[in-house]
Amino acid sequence: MVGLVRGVRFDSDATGPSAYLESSVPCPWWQQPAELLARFSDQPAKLCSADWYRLVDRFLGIDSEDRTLRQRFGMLYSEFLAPFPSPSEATEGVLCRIQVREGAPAHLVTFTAPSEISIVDFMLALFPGRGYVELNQAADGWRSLGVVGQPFPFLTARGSQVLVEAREAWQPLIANCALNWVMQMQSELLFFHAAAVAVRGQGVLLAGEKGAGKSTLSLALAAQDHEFFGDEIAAVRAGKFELTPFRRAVSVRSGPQAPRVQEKLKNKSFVTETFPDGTVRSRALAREFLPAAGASPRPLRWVFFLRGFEPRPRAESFHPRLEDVRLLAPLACTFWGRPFAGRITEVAKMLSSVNCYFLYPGRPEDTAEMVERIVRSK
Amino acid sequence: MSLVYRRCATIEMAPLQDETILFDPQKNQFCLLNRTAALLWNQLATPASPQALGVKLCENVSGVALEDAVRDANSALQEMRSLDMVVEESQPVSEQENKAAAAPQTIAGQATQLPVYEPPRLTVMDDKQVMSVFQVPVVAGSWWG
Repeated sequence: MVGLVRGVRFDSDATGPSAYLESSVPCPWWQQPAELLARFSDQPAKLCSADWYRLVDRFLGIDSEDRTLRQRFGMLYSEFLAPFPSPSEATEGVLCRIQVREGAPAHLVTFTAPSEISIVDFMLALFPGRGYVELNQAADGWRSLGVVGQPFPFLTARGSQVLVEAREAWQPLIANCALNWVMQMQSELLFFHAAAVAVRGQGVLLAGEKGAGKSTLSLALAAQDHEFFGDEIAAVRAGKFELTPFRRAVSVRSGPQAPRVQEKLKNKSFVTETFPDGTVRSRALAREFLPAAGASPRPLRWVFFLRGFEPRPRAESFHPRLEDVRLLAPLACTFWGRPFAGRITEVAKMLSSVNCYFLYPGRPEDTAEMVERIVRSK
Repeated sequence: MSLVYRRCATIEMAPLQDETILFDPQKNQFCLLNRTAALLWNQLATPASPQALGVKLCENVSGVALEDAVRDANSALQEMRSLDMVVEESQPVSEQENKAAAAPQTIAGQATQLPVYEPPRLTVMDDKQVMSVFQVPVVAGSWWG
């Protein structure tokens, strides 16, 4: 099918951005974004038409004409869904409005927030390993982002307006940007790539690289009815170092799990997904999967750094050194737009105020039992 | 009257195993203290003179003469003062000060279990240097998938 959008021929049967064939207008859409913008509404977004999520202290509104994004977001972040915020609460957060026009080569994403950020710089900072680069072919006042080796941008932005290439997988990028923006706004919070639980009212952070067993261990502990704070992102209130729930839908890998977790998986059917790394995982809402593992803010007392698997779990207590600060893997949004030195001091203060262990996990249930034992021992 | 020093209340600190981080949020100034400087900083929770700090150093490390310890402590205090991390006050000479003055001239080798003395060191870093030292990995979790 071939359509005509303001002089730019659009071949919707082709597979990439190069399918936009130039006709009477010599420039592709990203070089004439104003032309494309005219197709979208310039009326302010209505707060009531958005789904509102409360991400700890701030709200994120998702007002999307793209159903895929809206549904996916709703599924992953269902536990954050909040009643409609007051206008002042809403304006202190971020509203992400996505407009879709049939046949248009790009969608319009408009962010409304108390202060503007540079979307291109923000994305470059958030995803340093993805090969994103700023391209020089943007129109005046606009900035474009592409991937190394590809001549066309997947995104062109000016202020709070972002045009995203309709044929690219733009939804994860925009969703991540919106989420990170709301997290970044909350300077009183530190966000880490970690799982978190509370055992006997004491906050426990489980840090480690991807595949280290954070989710498995946190679920094994939650299946013992300990409070479950999240398996992917941990939010810690700076100053008083209080762990606060950040419960995205959990993803349970196929493979060894604690018997109670296996049982739950057997007894109920959950959606399964194949991840980009090839692993198959079950996706479930924490409140359904672990109904007894609710969570409310708890003082952070323990940090376990997960290391290599061993036949039997073991743990080594240690006093953190300078080089251990990096093991906590704070998320990029924790640092962005703020003096790095101040944030790293917060992270180091946090680490110096808790009990630290290197943990070599064994079977999930044995490892969970060991963590329980260690926490109970003090 | 003698000069004593105490910590500025606004300075944030993060004590780690071998070093201590000091951060002045008002000036966005980051400073790393080595073990000896950290020991001095810990003593400054209450006002202390260079003499008293020198004695404390000799009690906690091996291989330093009191005279050198006092000189190094004084030098570190001056550096901390120039960074606005400590304040100087005048105080009547106390009994403790007198005791400190009467302390043995060297305690080197007194306790072999103690760590070997290294002079106190303060390293002031800007944001770029802090990033370079800590090399914190930038993580952007896959929150969509």
